[in-house]
Amino acid sequence: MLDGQRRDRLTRMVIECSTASGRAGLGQALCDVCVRVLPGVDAAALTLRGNARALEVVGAGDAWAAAIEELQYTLGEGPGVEAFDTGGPVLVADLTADEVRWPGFAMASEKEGLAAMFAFPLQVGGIRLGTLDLYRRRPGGLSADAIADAAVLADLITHALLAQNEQTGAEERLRVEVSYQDVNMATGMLAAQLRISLEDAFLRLRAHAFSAGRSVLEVARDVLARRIPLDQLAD
Amino acid sequence: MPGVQDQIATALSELTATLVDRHDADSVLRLVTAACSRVLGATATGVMLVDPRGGISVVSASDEQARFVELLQSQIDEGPCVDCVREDTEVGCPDIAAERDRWPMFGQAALDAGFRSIHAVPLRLDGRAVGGLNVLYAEVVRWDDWEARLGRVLADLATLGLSQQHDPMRLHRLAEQTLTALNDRVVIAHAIGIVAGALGTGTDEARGLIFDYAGIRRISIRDVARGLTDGSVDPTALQAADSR
Repeated sequence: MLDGQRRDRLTRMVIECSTASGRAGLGQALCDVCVRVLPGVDAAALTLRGNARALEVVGAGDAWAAAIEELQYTLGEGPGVEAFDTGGPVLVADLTADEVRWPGFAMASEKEGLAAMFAFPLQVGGIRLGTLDLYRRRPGGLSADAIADAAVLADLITHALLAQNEQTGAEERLRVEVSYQDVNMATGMLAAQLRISLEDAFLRLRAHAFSAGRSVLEVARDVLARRIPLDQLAD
Repeated sequence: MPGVQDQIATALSELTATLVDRHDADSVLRLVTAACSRVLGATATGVMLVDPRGGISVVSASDEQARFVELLQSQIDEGPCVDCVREDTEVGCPDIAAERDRWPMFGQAALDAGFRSIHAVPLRLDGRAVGGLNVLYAEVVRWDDWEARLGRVLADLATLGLSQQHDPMRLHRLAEQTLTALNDRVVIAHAIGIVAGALGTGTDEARGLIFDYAGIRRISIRDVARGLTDGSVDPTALQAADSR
């Protein structure tokens, strides 16, 4: 289990990245943090695969990581693709042992010198942005601590990307309030009522709370009780 | 009336048949909570898992109404499930009213919700507690030895469902399953909101529609919820199914 101090440290590192300019700059900085923090990880890449979005690599630690992402994209298979499709992490300590799962990718990536790969979805429930892909040159698994850190980083990165254009402080943007089921249900309700994506509904909920000086949870409960007129949330 | 033995055999065989087949975490956990109600006579059951990112979270509950889930989730710092995970041992409280000081916040909340007794059994993997099975009763219940052992079996089956693999990959499988199951909970909440918003219902009714639809079509709740969030299942289809 991750203690509060470790989580705070990771949060600070991600906040520091948010001063980097543009999506690509942010992505690159976030990948660097992952490689620095996670033992056994040699390179990282952030890919965005949202619903209608074609694959976009917003950050790749180095040219090697970028080449592997391109392989995965070209072949249409691999741990990152599967993590996005299934909505859960795909942790592969030895790609040659799991060859049957991704025959093409396993062979091609071996030539590139990739031995192990760990893919974490960037997601909040039905809001699916992409994956955080971590690479290793030698076979071997991640430790329990490294898995916990990587999962927290994937959460923080998801929120950093989601709220990238929000006019709030970097710390507010990373505040993870989504563990509240009321917030999640209200997000779904708004999406259906306003016919917008879950992603946009979630951001509107936050924006409304921020401008009204209230917590997201309070606003969510008002939405569920239908106490806020929809036009107030429409934009 | 079918005997207890028969009930136990049925519940366990359903579970093990699912385990040897292709299975998702959600389905296994639902069978475990259903088995607790059936063979242990529980009023309500919930499974909580240690979130690798910190804390402990509800992943499955026999009663998905917000009130019961929130009661379980109120165990952030104190509560039988927190104790059973921390101390890696079964924690039984046959009469919550007689032990009000043990967990001041949780005890009161449980009594307010109509529960009188709780037993929490750790889910174990590789010698550490990775979660807990919460078995609650509306009346005073002291577990006999066979009930405690059956609770242990059900907790172990839940862990097997989440991690079934050979060493050393079990750590990876457990992390994959736990994080997927936790995210699935969020997907289900999104889906409930979508249905409530689209059909103009309350959230409890929306939840009921989703669960009924999954039951009638024999598909997992998770798949229905995913369909609703990615647009491949239309909320009105749920209403049609319900009015058949």
